[in-house]
Amino acid sequence: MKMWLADSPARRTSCRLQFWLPLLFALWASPVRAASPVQLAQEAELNRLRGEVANQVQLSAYDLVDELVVGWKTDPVFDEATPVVLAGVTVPVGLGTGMAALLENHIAAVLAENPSTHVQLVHCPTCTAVVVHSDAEATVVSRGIDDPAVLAQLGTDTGKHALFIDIEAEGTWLVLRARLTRLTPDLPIVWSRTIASSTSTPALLRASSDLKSAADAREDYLAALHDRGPLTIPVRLGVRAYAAPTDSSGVTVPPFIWLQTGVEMGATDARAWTSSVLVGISFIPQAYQGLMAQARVSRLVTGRTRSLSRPDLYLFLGGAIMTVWGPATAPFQADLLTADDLITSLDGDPPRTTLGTLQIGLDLRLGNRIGLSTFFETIPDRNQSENFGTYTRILGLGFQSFGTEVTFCF
Amino acid sequence: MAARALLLRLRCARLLPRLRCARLPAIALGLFTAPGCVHVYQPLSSLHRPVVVDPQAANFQDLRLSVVCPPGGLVSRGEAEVLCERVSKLFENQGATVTTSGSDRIGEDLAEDPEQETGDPVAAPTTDLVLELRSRETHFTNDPLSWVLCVGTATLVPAYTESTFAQDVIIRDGTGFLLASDSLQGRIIRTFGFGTWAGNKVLDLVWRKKEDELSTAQVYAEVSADLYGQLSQLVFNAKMRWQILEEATPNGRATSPVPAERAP
Amino acid sequence: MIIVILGLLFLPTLIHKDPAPGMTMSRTRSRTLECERITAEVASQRYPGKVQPSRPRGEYLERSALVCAERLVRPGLREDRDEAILSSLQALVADLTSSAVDLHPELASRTWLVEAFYPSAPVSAKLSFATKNALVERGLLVSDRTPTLSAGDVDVLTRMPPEQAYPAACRRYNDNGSMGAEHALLAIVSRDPRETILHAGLCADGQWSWLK
Repeated sequence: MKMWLADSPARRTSCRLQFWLPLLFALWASPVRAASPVQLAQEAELNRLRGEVANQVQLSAYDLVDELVVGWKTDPVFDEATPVVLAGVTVPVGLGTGMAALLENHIAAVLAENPSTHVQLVHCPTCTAVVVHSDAEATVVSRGIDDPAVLAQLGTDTGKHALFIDIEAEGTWLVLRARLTRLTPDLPIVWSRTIASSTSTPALLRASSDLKSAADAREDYLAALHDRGPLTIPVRLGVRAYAAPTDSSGVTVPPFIWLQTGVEMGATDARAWTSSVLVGISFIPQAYQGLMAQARVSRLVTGRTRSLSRPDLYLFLGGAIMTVWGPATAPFQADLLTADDLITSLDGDPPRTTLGTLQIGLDLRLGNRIGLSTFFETIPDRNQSENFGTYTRILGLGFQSFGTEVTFCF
Repeated sequence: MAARALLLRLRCARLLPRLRCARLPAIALGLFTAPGCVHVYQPLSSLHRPVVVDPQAANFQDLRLSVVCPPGGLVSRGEAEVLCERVSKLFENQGATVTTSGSDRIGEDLAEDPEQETGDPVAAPTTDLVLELRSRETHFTNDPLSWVLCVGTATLVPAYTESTFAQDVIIRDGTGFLLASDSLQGRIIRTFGFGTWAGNKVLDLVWRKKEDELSTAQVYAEVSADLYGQLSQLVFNAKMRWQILEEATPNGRATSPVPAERAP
Repeated sequence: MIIVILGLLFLPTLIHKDPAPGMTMSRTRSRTLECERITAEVASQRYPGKVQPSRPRGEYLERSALVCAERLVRPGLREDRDEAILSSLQALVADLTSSAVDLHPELASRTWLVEAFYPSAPVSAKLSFATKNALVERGLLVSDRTPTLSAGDVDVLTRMPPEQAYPAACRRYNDNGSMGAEHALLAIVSRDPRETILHAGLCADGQWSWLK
């Protein structure tokens, strides 16, 4: 065993060869194998997939447009409000034109909300419509923007510019290219920009009325992640109900109310794994009192990182040690308890019991501020006790208690 | 294919812990758990790019191609020869006239410019394109904890071993001018454990589509298709670039103010 | 006992999420990922919430991260050739424009025109757009204008082999006044339907030259 675990050079060489072998085997195969014909899906299925991809990239495309406008806000291309014709919006090849219309609307909306960009969208039918221009040399059918003769007729002093925006899916990147062209016969490009966003980057979903740069938005995101660091202080109010004994002559344990607090720690900012240690107190005059210490380990099951926008669900395992005393805690004793025993015990010292428990449950967290949890708890030491019934039985272990809690994190 | 699968299983068995005082039981255990090795291949970058050229078509008629496979990195001298042989077969099938070399010698010859050194007229290159293949390992992981868990749970929890490799491809013209270069990267993960092996077999049988099945044969087919496809495409692209440069310079030698990168 | 065994089987999938084909990832989906292995330090900077930075006193185990991003367009949605060109558009265009600018610094003061010759019109438009942006970002004067040819010229040129057609078109641009001494045309060309790279040609003063 040690020989295997040791990371000796000889072993490493052996392992390298081991990994290279499939490659060599692959090369020993006939080259004919390399030609696997591409299986084209049916057109309907392709269209469905195209629509799906278009939906997925739409938010990222909006994000890129927002970033473009933020750039114009911080560093305007024009010194004063300038008429600009939205001359062309093109979307990734193969994703249809519906997305182009949505993007055009978004561009118009964001520019209207941000006049400090000095880009004033205007309508120019002569520029965008297909026109027929005829002179002694030729007859040209084209968009007005593409025909210098038409632009010459518009005149050079209109101050109009054309905005072209292209969005393309390039591997794992969504790339926006934009350029502004002065609408004179020479069509000089006065400004251009290329912005890219990776598919692994979630859309920032900026409000168009309060646009921020991607860097500022990232700072906000990190601040939200780090708002309370890895440690939080939960304050938890819970109630545990105990299953009634199957023997009707037994005495049912009353529900126990606990107030707990302590420390909860996330392994990383993602808070995929968290652990907590809490102490608790229970006090109902004339009935029972108790102290407890509890530890839990929780695993996020609704993703790999906690979400800032939707609830997170954790699965937890835990254990607790509790000591309880008072007249109502008599059923925690190991022996079968009857009403007669209870009456007799009123004359002496109130019973006092110390127990160890194990828990399994689910914890729903809202923004890591409020938590709602529910769990089953077993008291292994009282597994054979006739004072308790069981809610459920897993791996031969009876779970005698069912609890619900509400947690506030600070 | 079955023979290859058996070979791989026996290699997997050899990697089991060698218990000194109980060699025979260890061998028996090795043979028993030999099927527990599952190899998985994942292309990381460049290996799974779209390929347009058909590796079965005559794409390289009248092209003289030299394939150079220097040993080192992941391959020994013998393995480099096998690599060269198979790649040359690939291009011969597509119409090229292929010569192979197991050393850097061709690249070194190209690095010398006889005109500059002796003033003699430039001799005609003996080859049109030179394809150089080098393999290296960029990352290796063998998690001891996973082996402890694997042994402790009677191989129900699998042990992971992973290797990330890079196949560096450099293509030059006959004069040593760099036409194309790329690094094809992928990784191979070996999972050892009866649980994973059995789970995969069950999923292959009842759940996965044929193209998603995880079997050793699939690893061969996939690596083979990726490597052959990308090599064919890269050489074809280089050939097109070479032809353009030939057109640009009527005397048949590519010239450029940018210094040509030479073989090391 | 069965639950324990099943738990052990699925334990690795809970604690070890891997982009390689396996229990939770199909081979098809795994092939849509582009991955890169980076060091733990770089990963913690790029993904602050997901990867812990290295401890100041070092790590017990060597840590690295495999960062994968899914390709936006799944295989089969576009023609393989279009997908190959578009997925590396920025790199291709940057390479071609830099060769034009670096090889001909004497043309830096001219107004550059751009034309793309690719069989698919939408892809051709993308190539042209990206090239213009790349030239502007290198500080050159670029125009949206495209040089024109008469119908007769087009008729003749389309019947010529490519090695003659491009130089002839360049001469015609110069002769018909569509391009002047103040212009330079960068043409982005796809010469063969089997290639996944592009070539660049330069037309200035009626002279055509291949750049790459």
